Amino acid sequence: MMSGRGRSDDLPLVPGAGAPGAPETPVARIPDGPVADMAHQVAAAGGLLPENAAALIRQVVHSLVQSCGDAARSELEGIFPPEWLAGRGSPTGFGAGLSDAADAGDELIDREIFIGRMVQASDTEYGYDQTLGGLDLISSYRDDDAVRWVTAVFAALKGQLDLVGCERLAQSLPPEVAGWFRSA
Amino acid sequence: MTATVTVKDFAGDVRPTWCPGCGDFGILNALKKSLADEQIAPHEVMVVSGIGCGSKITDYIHANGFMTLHGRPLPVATGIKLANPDLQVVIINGDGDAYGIGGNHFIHTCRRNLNLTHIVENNQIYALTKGQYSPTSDRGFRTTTSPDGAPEWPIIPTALAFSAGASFIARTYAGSPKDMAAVFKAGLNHRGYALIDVLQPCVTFNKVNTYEWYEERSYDVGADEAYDPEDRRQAWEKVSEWGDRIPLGILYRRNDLPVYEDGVGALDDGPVARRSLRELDEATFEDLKEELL
Repeated sequence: MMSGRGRSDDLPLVPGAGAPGAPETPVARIPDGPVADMAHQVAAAGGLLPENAAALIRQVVHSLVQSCGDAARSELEGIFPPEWLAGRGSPTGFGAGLSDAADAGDELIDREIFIGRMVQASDTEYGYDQTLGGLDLISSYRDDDAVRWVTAVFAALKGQLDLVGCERLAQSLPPEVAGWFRSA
Repeated sequence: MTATVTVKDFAGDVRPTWCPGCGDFGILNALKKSLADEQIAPHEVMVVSGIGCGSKITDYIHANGFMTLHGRPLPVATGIKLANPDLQVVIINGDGDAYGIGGNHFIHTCRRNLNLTHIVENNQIYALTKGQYSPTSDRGFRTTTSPDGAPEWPIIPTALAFSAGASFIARTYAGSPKDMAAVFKAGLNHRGYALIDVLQPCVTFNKVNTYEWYEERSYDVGADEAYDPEDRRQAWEKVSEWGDRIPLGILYRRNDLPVYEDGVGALDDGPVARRSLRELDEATFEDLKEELL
């Protein structure tokens, strides 16, 4: 993998993840409990290794907490480790002190900011972007992959929630993301 | 009934061509929100940008817009503000545009203290041209123009602005647009030059300074009740801090400086934009016309 794109050598390589020449996909330790089941489900649906799927799930949870705040936390408690649910307004998470103790989430987070960390973790070069005309970017295609991965996580998550919880979570999501969640 | 400005009033007709997940989307959302909350109508805003991914923002917001040459939005914004001080002039450009080629203008605009709001989309890379290291890239950052790692130490824009005499210095993060909007509002309301450096992930070309990277290091100076952004000694420590800990929020502010416009004698008779050409005698009018054409 060429190193000419500012990549940190700290990210571990996960051989076989994704297509040949795959990016150095983030990994996460798979916590015990529901997350382990979800990781295997997402790995199968997304064509990932379980460690990569666990990292992806953590990213999606992070986006859920950032955009929905306490509305997400109340639904996700008991499923994910507490440190995964830290975020705005919580004493130990990023943004502590930026808002009041009650965390209403961030209504300005749209589908782009929601999937940002997922797109950034994937390979976004080495191809021709025919939508923009012959450039060597595949960011546009990675958008499709990111949506597919997020939808896989949502499908696994919905298996952990009841119908009421699912709908409560959907209602607090950005509109397009809510659509992915409901259709997952 | 008084017309109310809403976020929808700033919706543009052009779909952004930014990469999916780009931090610029958060900046755009926050800018629209801050303008609407302050009841600044689209016709009352002039967005001035340079060249770069983020500088395309003038195409994506329904407001007056002026996309200038690479590195040159600040002098253009200066001229616009002097001609029409009633306009809310917001400069938006990237770190390469603002701190690289535009560095000279940046230093002097800081010390002039015109009533401008300057938002810098700092993704620590030249992204539009496909991934070269920039003045804010960390030392050792490997790109096509730095295959062995960037040899220079980065500038810290907030420290540079402080040294140059800026009267409002803030840093915020594109992944938290709600918090960003609050900082933007403070900048819009500041009387003087307001620098807002935005940590903005580039999802395509910067795989080091990621959403996670910024979130692991950022903290809010406002969480410390003892922090006073008007205390120069405290502020110097914060504006200079970078690396394992990155302070966000209003880092420095002073409200006692006159703005540059107040000292321009040519504006004593009112803004140029509001003066009628009919006030000029015929000879002066003809001279002016010849000079302009």
